[in-house]
Amino acid sequence: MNASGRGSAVYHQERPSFGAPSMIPSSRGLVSRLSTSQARMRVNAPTSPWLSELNQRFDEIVSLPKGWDGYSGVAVTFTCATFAANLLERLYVDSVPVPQLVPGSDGSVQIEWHVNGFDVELDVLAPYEVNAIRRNVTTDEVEELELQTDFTALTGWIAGLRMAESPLVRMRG
Amino acid sequence: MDRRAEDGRIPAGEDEGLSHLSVDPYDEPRIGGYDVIIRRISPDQHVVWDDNRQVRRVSSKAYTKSTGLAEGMSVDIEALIVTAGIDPKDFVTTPVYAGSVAFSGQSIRSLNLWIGYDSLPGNPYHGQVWTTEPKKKFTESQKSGLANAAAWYVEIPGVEIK
Repeated sequence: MNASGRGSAVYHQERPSFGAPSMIPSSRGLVSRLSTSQARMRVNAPTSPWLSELNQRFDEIVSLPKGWDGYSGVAVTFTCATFAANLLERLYVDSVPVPQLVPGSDGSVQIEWHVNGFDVELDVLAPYEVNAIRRNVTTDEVEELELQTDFTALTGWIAGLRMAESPLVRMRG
Repeated sequence: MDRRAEDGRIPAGEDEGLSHLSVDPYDEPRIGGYDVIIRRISPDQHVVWDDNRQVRRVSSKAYTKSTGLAEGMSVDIEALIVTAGIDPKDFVTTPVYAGSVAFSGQSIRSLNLWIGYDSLPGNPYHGQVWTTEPKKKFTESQKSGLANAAAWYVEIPGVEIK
């Protein structure tokens, strides 16, 4: 969904530079418009296929109308969306499917994968405030992490989602 | 000028710009263990594809509290809607159409969560589910507990609750 026709916020991405909280705004990249102000958000060009595929979805969740959840929910904030995009850019692993994005009523966003026998959910509450869980669907074992600055642990989780590493795929191979 | 409709509700959008001060988290004794607590689910935003289970299902994000000390998880208190003479299924599907799930008061409290009234402009039947310690988020077991306790109230066809 592209909400530009409604005059609400539009989110575009170009190569997020993960880890730089001062990146908004930068002098390059594309611009997001807010209908009621001169605000602009600029991020750099995406290089990962995930972000290319999620471009429209990011656009949608930062453009949600107030009350989208039937209560008083607000759109995903630009800061959360930008941080989530940057995180995804850093975590990208070839052959791991593109994740799904679920908005929170408070402007946060959750990144989710449910593939290869695992549920991995990264709840981006704010920049540098991420609650992460990984559930083994077979054993129901759950790991939980509260992450702020070091996201290294997630790289192993994401690598474990590679479809080529699925036991089923290995058996077929 | 009174902007209320015949059913007592304030039309959507009429209250934009009015501030809403959340109540402090508390546990409302008038909400009984058998009372029905409704949580709206957006069919467009809260539903994900689960490749492991090969189903479309409600995301765990639908069972989280908002950030902020006084913020919880928004719900509708069925008994208040019924007492007002309004069809609750009609009420929770307007003005934004949503599916919804229901919990009992007891099932929520058994997860060490509080339920209280928190009237909103346009929704005097609004409540919140809070953690007993405001700074804390819902734990994974509380989120999965809510998903386990939930039953469809207004079903979204083809979507599993968990």
